Amino acid sequence: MPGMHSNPETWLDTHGDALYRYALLQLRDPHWAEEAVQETLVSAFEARHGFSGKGSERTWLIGILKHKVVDLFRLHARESQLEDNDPEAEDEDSVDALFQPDGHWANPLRDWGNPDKMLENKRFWTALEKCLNAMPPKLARIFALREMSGMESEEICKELSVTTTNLWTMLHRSRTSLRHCLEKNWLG
Amino acid sequence: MLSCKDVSRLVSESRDRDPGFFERIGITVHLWICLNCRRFMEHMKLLEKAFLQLETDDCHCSAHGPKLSDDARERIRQKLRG
Repeated sequence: MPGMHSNPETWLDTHGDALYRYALLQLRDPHWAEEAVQETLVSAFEARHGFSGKGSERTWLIGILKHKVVDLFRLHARESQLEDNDPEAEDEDSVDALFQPDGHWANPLRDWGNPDKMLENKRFWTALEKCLNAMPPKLARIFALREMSGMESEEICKELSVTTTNLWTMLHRSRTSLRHCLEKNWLG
Repeated sequence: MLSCKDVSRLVSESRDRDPGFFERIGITVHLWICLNCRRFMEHMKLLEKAFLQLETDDCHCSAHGPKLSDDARERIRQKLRG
């Protein structure tokens, strides 16, 4: 497998920034993200014989990173604003404002064009980072766990002690507001 | 008839659970006639693609955005040598 060295320092050189960026998008704290990268590389080295060599080294490392992100969310949840008291009220307003009283969209949605072109555009990635960082902490954590770390709904519900209905509502709000923010920011 | 507000919610929930038969029909019919909601659906798919791309080697995000600082990199290196 080209580039496959069982050497965590090589992994750090090759993949360090990508892992850091991925962790930071979810955890939103540089120290936690750094911790996630470090723990990922340590675990990866311990598990190196379990990597079949099929598929990309980066994807394998990201798979380990996802677990570390979940661990760090657990570890740091109480220290931060993640346990805020009433996120429901303000989030309600933010999505309701996107619709007219009769349920139609308040503003037309724009054509984002060719998906591949969009993903090659620096402005898209800058906007994505900005918009993820703008999400309220509780929504951001739920969004990250579901859309990036890939946790199933039931797992997240157990993890955060929320009902499935509550979870789906929060995911809907985070996705809808993210889309709205992205459209404003990256299309210009 | 489902409203755009209903459909955006159902489209989102379809990512987390299986919609029921009648919900599926309701979504489909609405999407036939509503350009905005079709775009909403496309945008959700684009976002999914973006998050998948973040995990790959050829992500276009990699040239930009935050990087490990030299200090952080060195700290990690030391821990790895630990």
